[in-house]
Amino acid sequence: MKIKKQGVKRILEEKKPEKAKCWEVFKCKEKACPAYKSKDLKCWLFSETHCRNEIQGKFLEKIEMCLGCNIFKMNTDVTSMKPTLKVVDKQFKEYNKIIRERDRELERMSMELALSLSEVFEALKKISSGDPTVRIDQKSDIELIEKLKCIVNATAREINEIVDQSHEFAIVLAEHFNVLHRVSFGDLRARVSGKSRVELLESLKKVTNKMIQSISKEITKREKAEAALRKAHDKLEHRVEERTAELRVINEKLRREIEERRRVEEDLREAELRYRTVADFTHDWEYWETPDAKLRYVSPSCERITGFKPEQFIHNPDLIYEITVPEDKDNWDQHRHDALSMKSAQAIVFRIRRQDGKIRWMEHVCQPITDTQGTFLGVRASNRDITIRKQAEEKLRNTLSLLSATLESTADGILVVDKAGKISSFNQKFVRMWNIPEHIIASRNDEKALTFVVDQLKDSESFLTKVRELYKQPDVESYDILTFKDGRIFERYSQPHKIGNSIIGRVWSFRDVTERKRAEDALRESEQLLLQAHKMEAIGRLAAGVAHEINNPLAIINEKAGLIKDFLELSVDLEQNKERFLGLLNGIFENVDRCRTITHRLLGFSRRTDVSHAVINLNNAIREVIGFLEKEILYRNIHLEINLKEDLPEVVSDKGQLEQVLLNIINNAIDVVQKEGIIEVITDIKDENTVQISVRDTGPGIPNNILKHIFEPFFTTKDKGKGTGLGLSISYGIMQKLGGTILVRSEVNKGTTFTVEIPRKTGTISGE
Amino acid sequence: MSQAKVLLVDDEVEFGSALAERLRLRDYDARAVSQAEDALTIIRSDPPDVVLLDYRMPGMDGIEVLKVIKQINPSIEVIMLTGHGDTNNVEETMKSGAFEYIMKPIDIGSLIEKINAAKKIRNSIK
Repeated sequence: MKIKKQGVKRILEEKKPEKAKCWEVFKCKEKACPAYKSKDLKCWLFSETHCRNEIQGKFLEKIEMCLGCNIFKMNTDVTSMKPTLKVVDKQFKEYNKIIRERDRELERMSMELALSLSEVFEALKKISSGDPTVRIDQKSDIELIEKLKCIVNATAREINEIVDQSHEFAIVLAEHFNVLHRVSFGDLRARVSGKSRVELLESLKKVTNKMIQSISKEITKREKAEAALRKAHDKLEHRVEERTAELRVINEKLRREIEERRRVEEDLREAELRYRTVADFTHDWEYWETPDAKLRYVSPSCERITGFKPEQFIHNPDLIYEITVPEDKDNWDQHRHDALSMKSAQAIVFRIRRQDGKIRWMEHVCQPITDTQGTFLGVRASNRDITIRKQAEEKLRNTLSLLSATLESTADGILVVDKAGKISSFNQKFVRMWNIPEHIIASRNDEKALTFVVDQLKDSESFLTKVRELYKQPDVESYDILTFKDGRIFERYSQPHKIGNSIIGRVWSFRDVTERKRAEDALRESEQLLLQAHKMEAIGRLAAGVAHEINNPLAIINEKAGLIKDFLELSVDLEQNKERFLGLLNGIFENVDRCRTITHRLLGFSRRTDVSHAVINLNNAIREVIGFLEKEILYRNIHLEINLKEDLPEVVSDKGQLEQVLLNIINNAIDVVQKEGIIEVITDIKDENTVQISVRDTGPGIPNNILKHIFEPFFTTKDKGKGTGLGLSISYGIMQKLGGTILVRSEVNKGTTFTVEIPRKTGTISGE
Repeated sequence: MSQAKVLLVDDEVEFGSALAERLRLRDYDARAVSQAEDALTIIRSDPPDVVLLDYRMPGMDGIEVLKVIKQINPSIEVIMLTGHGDTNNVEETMKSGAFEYIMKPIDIGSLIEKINAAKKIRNSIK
C-alpha cells in the first residue's frame, strides 16, 4: 500500500498534487469537513465529507468528474466504496425522479418562456415604435423571465420618463424664448413662470429671471437719467428757438436785400450780354471811342477784317490811323476832326493795310453818342469791309470800258434799241456807215434814224417791212443782205438783247461786205478761169496727140489725092483705071472719117462745161478717154492693159467731168511711166452703191512726203511750164461734187494706183 | 544721073505705099516698109541713097532708127518725116545726122527737091 501511496504521491507530486485535492476542486469551505481538515488524499466518494453533502444536487456531475480522477482510480479500497455506491444508486434513482420532474418542469417552463418572450418582444416592439407607456405583467415562474420582464418594464419606464422630460425641456425652452423675446421688445415685467421637475430647467429659469430683473433695473435707472437730461435739453431748446426766431427775421430781411441786389446785377449782366452779343457778332468792325480818345469797345470782327485783335486796338488807339494807307491818312484825319467837332454822323471810305499786308477797302460810318443827360460819351463807329464791292465795281468798270472799247473797235456798225424804240447804245462805226447826222443820233429816236437811212437802200420797202416785222417779234434772230444805191453791200444781223431770259431790246449789227463780196466774185471768176485754164491745158495736151493723129490720115489723104492728081496729069485712061481711082478715093474718105471722129471727140470733150447728169456706161466712157490717148501711149511704147468689168452697173453722173478726171489721171500716168511700162485701167463694183475705176501705173511711185500734198492746188512736181498743179486738185473737187472720191496708193519704185469711186446715183454717198 | 534709090519707112502702110507709087511715077526707085526692122535689113542688104523716115513710130522711134542707119552706113542720107508739133525734136534729129526734115502732109515738089539734094550730096561723097 505504502508503495502505492508513495507511487500516487509521487504521481501527484509529479502532477501538481495540490490541485488535485478534491476539496479544492469542490471549494470546500467547511473547515470541519474531513476532506478539508485532513488534507488527505482520499476521494470524497469514499467518505463522508462535507463536500459530498454540499454537492448533493450536483452529484452526478461530480461523480462523472470523480470517476475520471486519478485519485479515484488509484483507490483500491473497494469496500469503502459501498456506501458511496449505495448513495450513488439511491442518488441515481432520486436523480432519475428529479430528472423526470425536471423534464416536466422544463417543458412547462419552456412554454412559459416562449409566451413571456413573445410578450417581451411585443412590449419592446411597442417601445421602439414610440409607446413607452407599455407595461407587462412581471410575474413569472421563471426567474430569468421575471428579470427580463422587469428590465423591459424598467426600460419602458425610463424611456417614458426621458420622453416626458424632453417635452418639458421643449415647453420650458419655448417659454424662455417667449419671455426673452418680450423683454427684447421692452416688456420688462415678463418672467419665466411654472415649476419644472427638471433641475437644470429650474436653474435656467432662475438665471433667466434674474437676468431680466437686472436688465429691467438698469433700464429703469437709465430712463430716469434720460428724463432728467431731456428736461434740461428742453429748456435749452426753448431758448435756442427764441433766438432762432429772432435770427430768422433778420435773415429774411438780409435775404430779400441780397435777392434784390442779385436781380439788379442779373439784369445788368443780361443787358451787357445782349449788347455784347449784338456788338460781338456784327459783321462789321464796330468800336466805341471815348472822349479821351481811348477805345472802350472793339468788336471781334476787327480781326477778320484787319488781322489785328480787339485788344491790340484797345491797347493802341492809334492803330487805326497806323494801318490806314498813306494816301488816305489825310482824309482820315480830316474826318476825325469833323466827327469830333461837329458831333454829327459822318461817313468816309478809306483803305487799310491788313496785318498780312493786303489792302482792304473800309466804309466807315460814325456817330457821336450821349447819355440821357446829354453828356458826350464819345463816338461809335462802324467799319464795313467793302473790298469785294470795290473790286466788283472795278471789274464792272473794266468790263464796261472793255465793252465800250470793243464796241468802238469792232469793224461792224452796232445799234442797240430798247423795247420802247429808243436807241440805247451805238458805235461810231454805225454812224459813219449810215452817214447819220449828229442831231438824229442825238435824239436817240430809232424811228427817225430808220427814216433817214432807209432811202440809201436799193430796196428800201422790203428793208422797212423786215425791220417792222422784227420789232413785232422781239425774240427772233435774223440775217439779211442790204444792197445800197451806191453799190455798197451790208450784212445785217439782228438778235434780241437779253438779260437772263427777259428780252429788253434788240441789237442790230451791220457789216460792210462790199469789198468781200467783190473779192468773192473775183475769186469765183478766177477760179472759173483757172478751171478753164486747166481744161485748156488738158486739151492742149490732147491737141498735140490729136494733131499727130489727124496728121497721119491727112498725110494719107494728101498722098492718095496726089496720086490721083499724078494719074490725071499723066493722062492715064480713066475708064481703065476706074477701080484704082475708086480705091484711092475710098481711102481718102476713110481717112477723112478718121479725122472727123478725132475732131468730134475733141470738140465734144472741150464743149462740156456745166454739170449735167446722165446715165453713163463707165466702160464706154473709159474707152472714149483712152481713144484720145492710145496713140500717145503707143508712141511712148507703154503697154496699156484694159480690164473692164462686164455688166458694170451704169451710173448717173456727169460724163464730161468724169472724163476730165480720168483723162487727168491717165495723162499723169503716161507722164511718169517709162518705156515698156504698164498702165492698167480697171473697172469694178465696190459695193452695191459704188463702182470704181482704178488706174495703175508702174511709174516711180510717189514718196509719202509728196503723197500728202498731191491734191493741193498748184502743187506740182513737173517742170515749170509743164503742169499747172491743178489737175488732181480739180479732179478731187469734181469727185466731191459728184459724191465720189479719189483715193491714191503708191509705193516708191513700184508704181501708183489712183482709184476713183463713183456713186451709182450722184449724192448717195454725200447723202441725199 | 540716074534717079535716086529711096526707102520709105512709115508705120502707116497706106501712106507709105501711096507716096512710094508717086515717087516711082517720077522715076525714083522707091519702096516702102512699115517696120523699122525691115528697113534696117534692106539698108544692110540693098542700101538706098535716101531714106524717108517717119519720126513717130511704135517700137523703135525715128531717132533711134536714124542713129542705127548712120551707124550702118553714114553715107545714106536720111530725110525725117515729122508731124506738126514735133518741131522741137527737129534739132535733135539734125544733130543725129539727118539730112533734112519735111512736115506731113508732104508737098511732093519740096520732097523731090530734098531727095535730089540728098542724092547730090551722096553722089559728091561717093
